[in-house]
Amino acid sequence: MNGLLNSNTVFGALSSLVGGIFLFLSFRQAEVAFVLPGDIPPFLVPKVFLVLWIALSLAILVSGLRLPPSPLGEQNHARIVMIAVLLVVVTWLMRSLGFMIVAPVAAFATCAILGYRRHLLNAAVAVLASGALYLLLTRVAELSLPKIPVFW
Amino acid sequence: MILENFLGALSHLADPMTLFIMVIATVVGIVIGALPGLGTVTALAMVLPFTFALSAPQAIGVLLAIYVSSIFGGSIPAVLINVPGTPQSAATTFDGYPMAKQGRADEALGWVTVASTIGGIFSGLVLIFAAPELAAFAIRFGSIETLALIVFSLTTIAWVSAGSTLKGLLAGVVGLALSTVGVDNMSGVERFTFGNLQLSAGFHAVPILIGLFALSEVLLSSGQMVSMPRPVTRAGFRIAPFSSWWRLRRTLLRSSLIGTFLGILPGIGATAASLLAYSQARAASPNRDKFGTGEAEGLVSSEVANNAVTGGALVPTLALGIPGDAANAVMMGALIIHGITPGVQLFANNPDLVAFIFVALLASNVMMFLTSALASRVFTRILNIPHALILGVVVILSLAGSYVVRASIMDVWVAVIAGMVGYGLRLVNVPLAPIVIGFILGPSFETSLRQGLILTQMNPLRFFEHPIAATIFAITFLVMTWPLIRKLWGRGKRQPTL
Repeated sequence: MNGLLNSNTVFGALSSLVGGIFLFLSFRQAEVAFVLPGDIPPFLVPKVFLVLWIALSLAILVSGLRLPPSPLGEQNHARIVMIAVLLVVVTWLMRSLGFMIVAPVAAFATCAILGYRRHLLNAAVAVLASGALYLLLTRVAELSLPKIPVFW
Repeated sequence: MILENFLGALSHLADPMTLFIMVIATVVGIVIGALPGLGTVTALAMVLPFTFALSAPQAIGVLLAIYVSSIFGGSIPAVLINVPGTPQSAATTFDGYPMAKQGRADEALGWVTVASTIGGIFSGLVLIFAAPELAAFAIRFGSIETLALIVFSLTTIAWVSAGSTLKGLLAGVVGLALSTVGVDNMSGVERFTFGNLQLSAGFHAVPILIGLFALSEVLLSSGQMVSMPRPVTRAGFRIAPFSSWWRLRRTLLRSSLIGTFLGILPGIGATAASLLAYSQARAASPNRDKFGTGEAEGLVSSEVANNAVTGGALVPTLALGIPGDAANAVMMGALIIHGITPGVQLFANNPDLVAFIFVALLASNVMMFLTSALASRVFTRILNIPHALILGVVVILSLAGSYVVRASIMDVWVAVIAGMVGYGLRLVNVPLAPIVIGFILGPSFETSLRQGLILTQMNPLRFFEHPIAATIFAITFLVMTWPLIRKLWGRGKRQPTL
């Protein structure tokens, strides 16, 4: 079984599965959608796309079966997982803590995870860049960013 | 396009605020382009949210300046550290780095800057003449012709994308499918929203772009952090005498034509254009033996071609509303965000704005030249900034950029998920550009298909009764089956020898 695993088979199988789930959902949702006589059903085009999605994914899966097993390349998985977790946590906390608390921490932690060891410079860059960005977007461009709750 | 429109465009451009932000955008574009890994699309995606507060002409000016200067910026590390900042500058390393190693970095940067400016201005002039003609022809296009054109564009882009064709096609289809999430504009029915109110409006292009290009780059770089080599020398800026340029006039013209023409074709892009121009210059040059050792002709050929793609690629984007690459898809998305729909109607209803786009493209090239000439030493120092610090800033720019689009945390989640998905797709060599192009063209594709089906009473075979659409479909079929035809043709020709 391991001999069949390569990037194409894994990707093809996963992609077919995702496409299949969405195609199933499109049929489920189409059942309750009201369509005027003579009109094009709203789920027709998504269904066409999803059928193509599944067909192409299966083609990739089949092409992968003819390839030898291969690793997915040499990556530092620990760092990638840490960055991914950091992004999720930061997004989760951004609304409740505000951009000006979360952003410097995100920038600092990203650099630290990536192995940058001049922590004072790292902290200074993180705070200055976040502050400059916040002022630029909220004051100059008059766009909205999550505020620190104390200042509401 | 009448003179009055151009005079109006010039007056817009002469506005000090517009000029100021375009100069800033030029600097930002060169800096992001010079940072290996980030590239033109990331630069455009990260800057796009900042344009929301600007008027439409100012936003267009900023994005054009970023587009033009980021392609050029990629050449700086190509010359100084033998690492192209953007893929478009890969061919620049062949002669740029050897020239810098010989202590002629200032000369190399001079060649690169002037060549990029010439290529950009040449293609800008082609755009001015070609786009209105193409738009005038496209007035005959109805929904079925538009559909055929989108199918052709997506198929070709997928076909020539890096990696396998199947993956390129799948990426395009994924982009199209993503565009169907939200309330259907024609029937008001919610699709794939799972009762989530924020999903009713569908996905916004900006978080998807930021995730796919910027955050996936952060994840990818974090897995393979390597220290950048230091620049070979402290660079300056020196322009070769006019006689040296005159000697290369044929190369300049040939490379400009190659870049512009390949830019007009969907999916080919600046990387292929610069490599083709380089190989053509080498084949035609009496100094071909010196190519790869610091020959100015090689350097000039690739640089002219990669910047000549800019104007060429804008021809179908503006005239037909069909972007030929991811950078133009971002540009088109930005125009739509600012209430401007590229295509035939743009030329009919907004000639002033079209004239401004033309003038701004030419001005962006001039600004790129002046900025580089004045600040090349500063740009060289950017290469000494630790990559980790840059990625930290990219993370906060991405978070802020995704949020400000609709002041919604949902968009930040979309960016983060798109970043993780984009990282996974890059690992398995799925090209990201077709996803973006499919997503941007999705609504137009769906509207055209549904209108076409209504017109033909649900019989898609009747699409072929429209001559223009039938021709485009035939060309698409030819493009798709070309490798097979070539294989069969080759087998047929070999048979007598067997």
